[in-house]
Amino acid sequence: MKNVGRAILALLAAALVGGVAEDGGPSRRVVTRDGWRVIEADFHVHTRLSDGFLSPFEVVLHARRNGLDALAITEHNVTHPAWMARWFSRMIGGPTILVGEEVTTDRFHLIAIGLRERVSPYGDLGAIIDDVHRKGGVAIAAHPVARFWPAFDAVLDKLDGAELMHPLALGPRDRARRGWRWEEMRDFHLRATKRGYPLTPVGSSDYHFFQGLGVTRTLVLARDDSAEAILDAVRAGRTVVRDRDGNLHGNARAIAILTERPIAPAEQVESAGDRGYHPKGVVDHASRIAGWLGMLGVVAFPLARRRRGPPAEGSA
Amino acid sequence: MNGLDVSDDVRLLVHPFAHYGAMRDAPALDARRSAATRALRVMITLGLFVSLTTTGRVVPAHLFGAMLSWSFAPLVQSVAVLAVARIFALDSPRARVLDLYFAGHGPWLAFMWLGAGVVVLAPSPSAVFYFLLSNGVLPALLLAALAHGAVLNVAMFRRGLGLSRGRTAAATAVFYVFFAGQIVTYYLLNDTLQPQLGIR
Ligand SMILES: [Zn+2]
Ligand SMILES: [Zn+2]
Repeated sequence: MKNVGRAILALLAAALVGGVAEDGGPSRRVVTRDGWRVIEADFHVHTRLSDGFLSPFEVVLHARRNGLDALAITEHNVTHPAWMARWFSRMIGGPTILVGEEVTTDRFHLIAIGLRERVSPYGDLGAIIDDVHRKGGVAIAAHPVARFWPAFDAVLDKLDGAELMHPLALGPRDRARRGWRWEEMRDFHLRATKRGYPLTPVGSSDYHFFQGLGVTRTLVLARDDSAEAILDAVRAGRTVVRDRDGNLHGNARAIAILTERPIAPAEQVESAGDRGYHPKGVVDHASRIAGWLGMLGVVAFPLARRRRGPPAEGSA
Repeated sequence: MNGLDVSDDVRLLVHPFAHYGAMRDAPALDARRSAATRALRVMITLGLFVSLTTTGRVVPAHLFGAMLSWSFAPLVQSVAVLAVARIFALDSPRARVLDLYFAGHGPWLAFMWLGAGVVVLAPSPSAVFYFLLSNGVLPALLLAALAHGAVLNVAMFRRGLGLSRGRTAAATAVFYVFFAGQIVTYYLLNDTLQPQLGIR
């Protein structure tokens, strides 16, 4: 048994060494266009403090890994995880964390970012959006699929933005259930624009677990990478979102800036999604398999020598 | 087994009732240490699962970060199982109850190992997960893990702790009420559930 224990330890040690060596890559570069800083942002992120897998601290590290400049932590009806992430991020030098909340009810989900304090989820949507604005924030319709349209249609004049890209777009086509289709989100945005409410388009990953933090994201043209500059840009509509068919959404000027001189591959760290899982080489691949086999060892074999006695008194 | 001993978790996964009986007949000499080791095994597995599924690699920040941020799970479980031990006036010491309880996490450990395997081995993990999800395989596996976990709890109360059939059923029900109750309380305190239930 001693040998099995040693083998498990060796596998896990190899996995850890490989993991440390291969994790992370080129850090995110400063990208500018036409005098604007191009910020890659994910404005819809959950953590372990509601229904995600990662702690607020790990989410910050994962955002760096996935090449994001800014992140809004948006937990269901609370803001304390966002404050924790912001504290940690400031300590390690970025990315920019916006304090946010996903106001979550049975009638709508609303992303509020840039908050000075928590917003109550009770009351009608119009009043909640007013409260978001009073507390310094910006209100974005979260995944506005058909089931949420009645609530959002009534407040088009108050909303600042709407999610137009979301991982819902990346699933198998035509198989999503009605009421939860990405096309409904896109149509909501197009319809609002047609009715004279050009909501700022936002792409977010609604991150809960696994690799895909920032797999769908927003390009923001901001003065700099401060939270205030990013919020100003969202208020002014200076965002661009690429949908799953490659179409760009956003105001004409912002799109023109980014198509005149498109973002070059070298200016991006695009590791979200399956790409982030791809091994960088044989050593990387081997260390990952070692980790998985070590995990089997932890599950399947005793970690300590069993020392057992006779039956306890009276339990025969 | 000639030197190659498998964990109690694996034995319980295959023979829940018989092996809980065997564990009762030969209890750990140092139950406190044994229970702590078992809880640690669950946490290491969770840490490895979170790290591998987040990055495809074993990274210290996620391994130890997840062990810390998920530590509420064994705490909540311990509170629930110790509450049952108290209510049903089990004569076994608390450490022994925990030792038996933390040996019965096999279904979840297996589930996590398989999930991490998809990430490590599949060329396109998201395609595999979408496929398993849209064909109902993933939900079925989750349900199976839940059901098997419940069978293990029943086996622990019945054979591991020697309760009668009726008291086993009651103890299992009380365990789940206490377990779910703590989680629901957290979400109620955070105003997460009420607005989603239509409370305005
Ligand atoms: Zn939502
Ligand atoms: Zn969400």
